[in-house]
Amino acid sequence: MGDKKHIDRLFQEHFKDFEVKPDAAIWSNIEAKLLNKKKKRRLIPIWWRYAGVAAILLLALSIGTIFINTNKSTTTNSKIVDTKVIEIKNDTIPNTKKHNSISRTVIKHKHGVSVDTLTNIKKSSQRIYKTNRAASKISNNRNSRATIKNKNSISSKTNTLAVSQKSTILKSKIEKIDNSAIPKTSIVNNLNLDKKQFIKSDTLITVQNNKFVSNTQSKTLNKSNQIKEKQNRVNLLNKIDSTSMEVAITEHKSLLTQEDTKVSTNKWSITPNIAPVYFNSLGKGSSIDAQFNNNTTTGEVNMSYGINASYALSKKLKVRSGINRVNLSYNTNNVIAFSIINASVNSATLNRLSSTASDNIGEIKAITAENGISIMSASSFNSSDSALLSSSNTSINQSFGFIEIPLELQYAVLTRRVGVNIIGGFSSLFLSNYNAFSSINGQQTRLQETDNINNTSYSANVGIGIHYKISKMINFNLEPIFKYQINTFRNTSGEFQPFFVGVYSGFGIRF
Amino acid sequence: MSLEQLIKKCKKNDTKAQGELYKLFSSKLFSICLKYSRNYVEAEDNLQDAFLTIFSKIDQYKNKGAFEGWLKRITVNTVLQRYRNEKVFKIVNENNIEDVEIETDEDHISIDYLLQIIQKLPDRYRLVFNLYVMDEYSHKDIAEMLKISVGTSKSNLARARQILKKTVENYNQKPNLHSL
Repeated sequence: MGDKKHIDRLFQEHFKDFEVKPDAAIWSNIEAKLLNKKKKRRLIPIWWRYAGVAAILLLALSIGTIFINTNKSTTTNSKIVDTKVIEIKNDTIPNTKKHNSISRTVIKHKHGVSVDTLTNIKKSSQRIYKTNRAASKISNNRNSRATIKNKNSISSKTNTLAVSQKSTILKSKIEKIDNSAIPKTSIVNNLNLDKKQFIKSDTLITVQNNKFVSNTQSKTLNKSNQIKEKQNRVNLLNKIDSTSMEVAITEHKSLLTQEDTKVSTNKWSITPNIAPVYFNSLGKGSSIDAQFNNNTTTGEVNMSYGINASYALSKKLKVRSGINRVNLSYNTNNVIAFSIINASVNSATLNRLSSTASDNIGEIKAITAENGISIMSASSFNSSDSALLSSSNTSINQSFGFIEIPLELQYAVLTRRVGVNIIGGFSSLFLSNYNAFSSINGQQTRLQETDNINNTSYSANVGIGIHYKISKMINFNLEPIFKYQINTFRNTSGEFQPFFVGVYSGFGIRF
Repeated sequence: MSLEQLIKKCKKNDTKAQGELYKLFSSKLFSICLKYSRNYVEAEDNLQDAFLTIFSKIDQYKNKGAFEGWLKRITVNTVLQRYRNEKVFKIVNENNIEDVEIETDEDHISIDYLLQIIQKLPDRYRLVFNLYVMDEYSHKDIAEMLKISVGTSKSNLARARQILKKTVENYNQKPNLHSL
C-alpha cells in the first residue's frame, strides 16, 4: 500500500501528461469536411475572380492587338515554310511502308498570305513543340525505341529554333487548331487533316505531319534517320485501326468547327464611315404644299458621316449600330417667286390668283417668305398676272439635318477575301435642323418655317455590304444602302414617300 | 514553421497547415475528449467536431493568450455543446452531499482504468469532475458553462468523487479483476 492521496490528486497526476493519438481516419474525415466547406465557400468568389481575369484579358487583348497590328509590316517578309503533306488512303494504310501514298505538296506563300504576328509564331512554335513531344512519346510507346525518342526530341528542339529564327509561319488555319482538343486522342496529335480533301471524299484522309519536322529534319538529321522517322510514322499510322480513324475524323470535325470559330474571334468591329447620300421621293407629292404635287423635283447629293460598331453574333450574322449625321436636301422645281410691288395690288392679285387657281386645285395660298416675297407653284400661277408683279422662276430647296441611329443586321453571303453581306434594319432619325429657301435674283430667301416635319422619324434600311479584307484586322467596306423614310412628315400631300440612298464607305477595324 | 505562421496559414484555409496543426494538437485534445466523453467512439466524434470548430473559428483567435488553452476551451465547449443538445443534464439526481475528503493510496492503477471509470460516471458528474479537477475551472465557471447553480456544481463534484473513490477502492481490493 502506498501513500494516501486525495482522489483529485490521483487523477490529476495520472492525467497530467495524458495524450492519446486519435485514429488516422479522424483526420481524413475532418479533411474531407473542410474541403467540402471550402468548395462551397469558394464557389462564388472564384467565379468572380475568373470573370475579372477574363475581363482584364479581353481588355488587354483588344488593346494589344491594336498595337501589335502596327508591327505587322515588319513581319511581312517572313517566309512560309514548305509543308509536306502525306496523303494516306484508308485502304492503303496496311501497306504504306513503300511511301506509295506519300506525296509531297509544297505550299509556298509568297507574300501577304495569312501574315501573322510574332506572337502567333511563337505560339505556334510552342504548339508544334508540344505536339512533337507528344508524338515522340507515342512513338516511344509504340515502338519502344529510345533512340527514336531522342531523335524526335532533337528534331523538335531544332524545329522550334528554326521557327523562331526564320519567323516562319504556318498556314493560319492550321495555327488555329486548338491544342487543348488534341490530348483527347493521342493519335490526333500526329494528324492534321486537310479540310478540303476531307470534304471531297471521306475515304481520302490527308494527314499533314508536323510541318517543321519534315523541313528541318532534312537539315539536322541524316537521311537514314529521316527514313526511320518516316517509317515510324507509317508504322504508327498502320497501327491506327479503323475505329481510331473514325475517332480522328470526329475529332477533326470538332477541330474544324473550332477552327472556323477561331477565325472569327474578332467579334467587335468599328467602322467610321462616310457616304454621299441622295434624297428624293418615290411618289409624286410634296412635303410643302399640295400645289407642288406635280412639280418636278430633284434630289441633291449630300454627305452623311458617322461611326458604326458591329458585333458578331455568329460566324455569319452581325448586329450593328452607331451614330451618323445625315444631311439631305431636295429641290422642288418650277416655282414662281414674286414680290408684291405695292400694297394696293396686293389683295387684288391674291384674289385673282386664288380664283384662277381654284379651277384646278382649289384654294391655293402663296407661301410667304422673307422680304415680302411669295412663292407659288408655276402651274397654278396665272401668267397674265406676272405683269403686275416682279416675278422669277425658281425652285424651293429644302434641306434637312438628321442624327441617325441605325440598328441593323448584317448577314454574310460570301465570306472570302471579298465578303458580300446583306444588310437590313431600321434607323431612328432625329431632326437637328431644317431649312427651306428659294434663291431669287441670286439671293437666298428663306421660306417661313413649315412645321410639318417630325422631330423623330424612322427609316427602313436595306442594303448590300461589300467588305474587302485588307488584313486580319482591317476591312474596307462599301455599302450601298437604301433607306425608306417613315413618319418624317406630317400632313404630306400627294404620295410623298421620301427616301434616301447612301453609299457608305469606310475602314472597319476588327478587334 | 513556427506556430504563429501555422495559425496564419490556417486562417487562410491552407489544408496543409490545417493538417500540421492537427498533428500538433490532436493527441492532447483527444485526451480531453476521452475524459469528457462517455466512450471512445463518442470521443472521436467530439474530436472531429472540435477540430472543425477550431478551423472555422481560427480567424477569431487574436494571438491573445496561449493557443493551446484556446484549443482546449473550444474542445471542452464542443463536448459540452453535445450534451447540451442531448439534454442529458436533467437526469442527474440533485441530492446535496457533503464535501468529504477522500483518500486513496494508489500508484499502480492504470490510466486506462481511470479513464474507464471516468467515462462511466453519469454525464454531469463526469463533466463537473473533469472541469473542476482536471481543467481547474471554478464552480462559478462550471455553473455558467453547464447552466446549473454553483451549489449543484459542488454537489455533483462531491458525488463524482465518491463514486470514483468507491470504484478505485474496489479495484484495489480486487486488482486482478480489473487489470487492463
